[in-house]
Amino acid sequence: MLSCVNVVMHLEKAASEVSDRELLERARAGDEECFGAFYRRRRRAVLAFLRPRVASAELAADLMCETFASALIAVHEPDRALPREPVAWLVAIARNELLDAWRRGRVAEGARRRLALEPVVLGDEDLIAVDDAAADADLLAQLADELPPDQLYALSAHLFEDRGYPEIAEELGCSQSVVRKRVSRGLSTLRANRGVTS
Amino acid sequence: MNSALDQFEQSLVRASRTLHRERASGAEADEVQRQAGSGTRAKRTSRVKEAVRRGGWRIPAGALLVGALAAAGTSVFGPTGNPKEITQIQCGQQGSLAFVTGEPVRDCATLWPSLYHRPAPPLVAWVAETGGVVVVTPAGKPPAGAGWRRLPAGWKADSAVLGLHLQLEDITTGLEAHTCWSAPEASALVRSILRSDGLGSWKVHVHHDRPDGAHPNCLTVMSAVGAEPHSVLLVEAWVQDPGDPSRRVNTPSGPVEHARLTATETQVNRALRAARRCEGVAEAAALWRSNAAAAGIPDAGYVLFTQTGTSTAPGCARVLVNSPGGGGAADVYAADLP
Repeated sequence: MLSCVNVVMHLEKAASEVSDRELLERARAGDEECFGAFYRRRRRAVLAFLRPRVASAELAADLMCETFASALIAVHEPDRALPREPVAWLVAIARNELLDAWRRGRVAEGARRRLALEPVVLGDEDLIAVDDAAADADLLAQLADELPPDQLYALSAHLFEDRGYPEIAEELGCSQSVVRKRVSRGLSTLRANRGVTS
Repeated sequence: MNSALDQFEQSLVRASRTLHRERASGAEADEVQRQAGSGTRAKRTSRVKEAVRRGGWRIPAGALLVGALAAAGTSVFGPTGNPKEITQIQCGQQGSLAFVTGEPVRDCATLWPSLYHRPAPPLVAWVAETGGVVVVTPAGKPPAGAGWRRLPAGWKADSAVLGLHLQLEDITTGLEAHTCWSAPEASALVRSILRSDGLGSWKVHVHHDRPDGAHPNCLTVMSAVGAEPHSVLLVEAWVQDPGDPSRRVNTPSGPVEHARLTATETQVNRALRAARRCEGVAEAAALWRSNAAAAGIPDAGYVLFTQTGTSTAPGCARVLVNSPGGGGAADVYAADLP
């Protein structure tokens, strides 16, 4: 069995071998490096959710840290079943931390305080990393601004989710040619908006 | 490993080690206690099963999923106010889900003016004897019917359990609100939700199993998160009688409505981010209202909450949309954080 020290060192290779849930199970069982691996693997997803919704990279990072601290506490509570999809669970925690912060007017730090975690002082490199994490989420949002819903759906399903025309057509209850047209028109719209002629 | 965010990983690793040691020593003490008094859990679980079997409580789908996830260690539907067994907090009769701190009275007092357009009266929290739900009502007006137990002042639910419930409700938003779906419509809704949650790479699968005589375009859909890694499985149950169409839909009712809300959220935040000066909560709220109206979102489609930062140096405002599971108006928050 691959240890989580190796997961940290060879994250790319291990990603397909060790699931998020397994990382959390091992962290609960006492392999503390596994939670570190989980954090490294998923912090970008949490930042991608948080960054567009707050005014600064510092705030997004602050909320992200509290999110992972809360998750860590939950992982070590033996009566609690671990989530089947930890990344969705993280996004939910991040959303709740955000709601909580907005209602209170400040970011909570209860979980970090309970764990006696040191304050994180961000450098330029960190701030760039936080903004970079939001880039993927921004791309879809920009496309949503430019395309009508039917074209956006067909385009994102085909290009981002890598799904074939037959599968999309079956889901939407239309012919493959209709899906092809929507993808094609979506691409044409994007080209036109950007002044690209071919 | 140089950056502060990388170093935070090591802080988490150390904390994980400490927590594991604490739990390990705590487990030894629990074992001694368990040997002193056994059998209570089995009795309690059977009582709960009996209560659910009698149909005394309507269980939301999200709670069922949480129940499935939590089944290994504990019952979600415990008999009394165990903080780990509460998956919903309801403020008054509106049925709004309120979760900030997990302290029902406090959270509902905060929400009350926005929900009922008057100051919050003295409030009391009640837990259903079958567990699962806490209802907060004005003092002296307990929930209708029998089977409620008053919770002490300051009682707090487990925020992580509530969070997990909300996660599942987010992913299954609206599905419970319909009695009649088409599979493409349900799939499109779930994809829309996943995308807005930053989970756009997830797959949605539909399990088809149509019995003879079922209505060809009308099915109920149950969802299961994580049927395989990074996926949502929609299980169709075909409906024999589509029923009254006028009673089918609550809001948000489909991918278009959901996308309209999240697209407006994105537009408003982008406009706020692009503003040369730092916009306050009032400006953010006004921008939301104008963009929502332009997008065709009716006023009744959302409740707008505003919150100014408690610091003397307020930050720049943003908005956040939270669509409750099972239909109903969306919660929109306009707030700044220093």
